[in-house]
Amino acid sequence: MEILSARKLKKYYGEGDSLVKALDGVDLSVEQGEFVAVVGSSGSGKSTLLHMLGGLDVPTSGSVCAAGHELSKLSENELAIFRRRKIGFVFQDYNLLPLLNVYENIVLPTQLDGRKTDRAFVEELLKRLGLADRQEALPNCLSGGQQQRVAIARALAAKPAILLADEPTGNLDTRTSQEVLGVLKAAGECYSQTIVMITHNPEIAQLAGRIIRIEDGKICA
Amino acid sequence: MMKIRNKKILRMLAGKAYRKNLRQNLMMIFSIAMTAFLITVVFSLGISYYKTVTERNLASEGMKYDVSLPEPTDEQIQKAREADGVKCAGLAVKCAVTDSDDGKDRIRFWWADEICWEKQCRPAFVMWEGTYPEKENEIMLSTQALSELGIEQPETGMGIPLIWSSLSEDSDLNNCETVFYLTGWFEEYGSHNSGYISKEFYERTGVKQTDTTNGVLYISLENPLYSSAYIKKLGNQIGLIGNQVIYSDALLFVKFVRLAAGILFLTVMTLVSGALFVYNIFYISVAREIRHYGQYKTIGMTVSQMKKYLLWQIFWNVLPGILGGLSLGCVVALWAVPYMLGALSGEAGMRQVVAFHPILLVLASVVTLLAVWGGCRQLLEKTARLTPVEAVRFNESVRPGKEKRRTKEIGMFQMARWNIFRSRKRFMVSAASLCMVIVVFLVVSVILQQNSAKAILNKQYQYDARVLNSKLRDDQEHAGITEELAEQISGLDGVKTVRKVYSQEVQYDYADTYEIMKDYMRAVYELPLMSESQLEENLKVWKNRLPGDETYPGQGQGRLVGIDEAEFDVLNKQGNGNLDKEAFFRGEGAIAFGFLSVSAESLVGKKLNFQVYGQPQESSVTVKWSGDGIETPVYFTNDVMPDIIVCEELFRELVTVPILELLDIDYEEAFDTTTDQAIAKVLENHDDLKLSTKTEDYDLLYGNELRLRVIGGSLCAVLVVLTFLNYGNMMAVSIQSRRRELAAMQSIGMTRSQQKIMMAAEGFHYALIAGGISLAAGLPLSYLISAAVNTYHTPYQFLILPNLLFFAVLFAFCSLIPVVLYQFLQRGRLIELLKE
Ligand SMILES: Nc1ncnc2c1ncn2[C@@H]1O[C@H](COP(=O)(O)OP(=O)(O)OP(=O)(O)O)[C@@H](O)[C@H]1O
Ligand SMILES: [Mg+2]
Repeated sequence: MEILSARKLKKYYGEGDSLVKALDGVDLSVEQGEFVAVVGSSGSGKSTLLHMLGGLDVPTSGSVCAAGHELSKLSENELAIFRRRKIGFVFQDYNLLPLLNVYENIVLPTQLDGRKTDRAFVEELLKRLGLADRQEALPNCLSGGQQQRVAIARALAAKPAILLADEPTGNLDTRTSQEVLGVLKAAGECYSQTIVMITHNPEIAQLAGRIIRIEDGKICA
Repeated sequence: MMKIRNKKILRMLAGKAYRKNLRQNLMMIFSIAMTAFLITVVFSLGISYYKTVTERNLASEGMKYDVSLPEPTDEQIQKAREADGVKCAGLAVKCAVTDSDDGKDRIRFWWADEICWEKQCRPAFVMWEGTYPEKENEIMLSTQALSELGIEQPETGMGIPLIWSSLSEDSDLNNCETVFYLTGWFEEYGSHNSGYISKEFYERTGVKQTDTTNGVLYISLENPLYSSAYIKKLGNQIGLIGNQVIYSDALLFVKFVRLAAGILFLTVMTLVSGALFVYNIFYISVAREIRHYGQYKTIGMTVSQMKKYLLWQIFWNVLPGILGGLSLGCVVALWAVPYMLGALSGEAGMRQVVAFHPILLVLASVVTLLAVWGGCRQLLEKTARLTPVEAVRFNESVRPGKEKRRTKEIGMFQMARWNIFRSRKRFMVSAASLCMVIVVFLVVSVILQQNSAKAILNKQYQYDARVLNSKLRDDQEHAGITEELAEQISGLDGVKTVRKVYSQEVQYDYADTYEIMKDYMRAVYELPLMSESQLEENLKVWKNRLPGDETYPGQGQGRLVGIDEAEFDVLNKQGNGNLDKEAFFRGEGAIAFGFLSVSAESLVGKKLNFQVYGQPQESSVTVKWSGDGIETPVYFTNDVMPDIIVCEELFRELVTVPILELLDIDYEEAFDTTTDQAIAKVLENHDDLKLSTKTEDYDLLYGNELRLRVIGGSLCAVLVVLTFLNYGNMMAVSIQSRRRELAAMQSIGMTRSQQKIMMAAEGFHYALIAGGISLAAGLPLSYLISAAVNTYHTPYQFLILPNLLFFAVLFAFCSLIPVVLYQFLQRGRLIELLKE
């Protein structure tokens, strides 16, 4: 079953001489439960694609359909609700809330939705991501890698249908990277989540079920 | 050479940054202009008020002077002119008045000596023409007097026939007809209808400068803000005689201090708000640009270069800000305020021109610069010295306090609370200014309530309506108010009680009572304008009075008053229940009243002998209670001697034909005009009875109340505007510095509606904290202040409704402002916000 699709997706920045075609006609289809890795050189449009898929930005043209929703038809508030229910997003630069501690950051999306937190699940996640004893730390006191793992935990905690991760292992050493990926895959299989992950690391890309290569805003092979 | 190029590049960079942050810079210009404007207005209001206080004589007397000495002798004038701190002293003598036969205002003829004319009269005129009269039949008239005489276009030398009388008691110059020749005219402040005549004429009238109420020495002082100690010293230097006093405003200095304190308070408030305003905006600019600053630092910009770069940007805001603020201030001070004051005072011709001086503009600029400097200094220093790494961590993002960390649920309120405490400094200043406004509002509302017409009237009037037998004074036996009438009135709808007050003039016996009552006599003759010799004379009249002599005016008369129970209860309440009701109604004794500074205590226990008019035998009562602290219930008093109150029954025993002087009427409901009218209807055919009601005075006092309301209201309004500007500004900064964080929340699924609720919760918290603190501090404070300035001794009353309303508005504003600001500031594409 197709859960995520993009049709003729284009995203242009600027105009005239300074026109940048970050995405230039991307067609994409992802089945439920698939684990997709997105690779490509820097500035090729990977992050842009992920933002479009997650409803964080509006395409110049084309459409995105995710978990049964045509994203262009949703209002701003509906998009926010869609995100917290269906999407887990791991940002390249984490975007943790400085005011909340690790635990609070992780459970915030569920709470915003008025749902009960699955505490056992969160505890388990924290343990497996090596954050069990840092639960009460504020993000500012964490290392880059720790912050990244908190961001991953936050994305997984709400058990979203789709997990979009922008270089989730960018700041991690090889061993931790492997562990974190293990967590991602396990969660994905357990809750039949669909995972789209950007990575620069070919080894990690190999773990995915499918690899999509982007160059100059286009999918090549 | 290098250096100059450096400067140019800095300026260019600063210019780029300035344009990029245009919104913040416009806000900064606005806030600087607001500060300059408010300061200008506050200052010009200050000096205007100062002028109205120091030059009040200008309006009331039409002369420019500070203090005056009535009936001066030549020697005193000489001494006054030589006394310390006296600028000049001019003599003016009122020597004649025109006769008014047809209801026209009389014209008063004054003679002024040269000093008075040159230094005190002329500077006080709006305009003048001609010369001071020299010949006996020459005159100079005010334009008011001229138009009263039907002359709209005066010419020098024109003849004006006037009928006049000398003001000298010994003179027989009455109704003299003289054709005066006009030597000039002038326009006064206020309408005094005066004319100036020559020295020759003055001498002819026979009036002397030492005649009571006619001659006055006007003294101008070097320091118009004199203290009462100085006036005392001046009096000693001049050598006052008998009861002579220097007329001065004993509270002038106090008033000035009060004014200065008020101005200082408003200035400091404005300055602090202005500084805060500038700080907040500057903070946003810095926070937005901080990464660039870090980069500049990384590529080698020095601290002083960085400062210059920032100072240029501030300077471009200061210039237009101050200029704009000052111009607006001038417009308001020179046009709007005089207009408003004129409309408020309702006194046409009153000198209400707002005093204005260019130095004000300089002062206001200096204060505004101070505010800008105060707002920028710290941040400028800090920013300039920032290392590149620090620049990245510039945003405040530490969670305050050591709250219990493991929160299971994070509510909106929890987050809101954390957010407002993020920057303690910002929170403190904003909360403090919110608190201040609330406290001022509480205090002002209490004071306004205290001075409201109804509160004053309720305190001052012991009745809702009073029926007075107005012929009683002329005809001792006139029984205008009958018992039936009293019955009839008490039967009216809306009337609660009718209290009856009987009164009768009595003649105290000299031999028995002089010793007891001499304090009363003395008190009168210690007033200025009364003399020892008059006292002697009057005592002689009293002493030599034959029994049964009923000629009036005599000496040693008093009033015997009889009251019923209802009236007694009212009096006893005033006297804090110190009277013994049962003893009083058993007829055991009387209540005696004091006079001026004389306490009635001296009469307690004394037996007073007197004779009731029309009754041959002498009667007597014993004074058992002092009426100190109680207002006498009667309308007519025989000014010097005490009123003596007894119960109705005893009164009937003492007076064979008891006559009602008045009825005090209490209503079911105060200020009930229907009942007013019903009573008026009952009295329709009684020309000899006068009805006065509390409602009548209401209109009169209401004007005063309104004025106070406007003044208090404007004070509150200025503070409210300042505070909300501050608050809004603080919130704007708070939101601006959290743009990225808010976007991050949105990206993980917080809706905009949820963010708005969070914003409102933040505002609500502010209101809650500030409201709580100010209620706790403001209520006792309002009580203390109201007790300190309670001129009318009205009871302290905290009005629930307006305060509730105020708090409702406060909460609404505090909660709504952040939401509106959020809506306005947190715009744009989510992904862009996330990149900030
Ligand atoms: N707001 C923007 N305005 C203009 N151009 C932009 C903007 N955001 C991204 N771009 C451009 O779009 C292109 C794609 O950017 P994107 O962030 O998707 O690259 P990326 O593949 O994620 O690169 P990296 O691996 O370095 O993260 C880049 O050339 C970038 O310069
Ligand atoms: Mg990227």
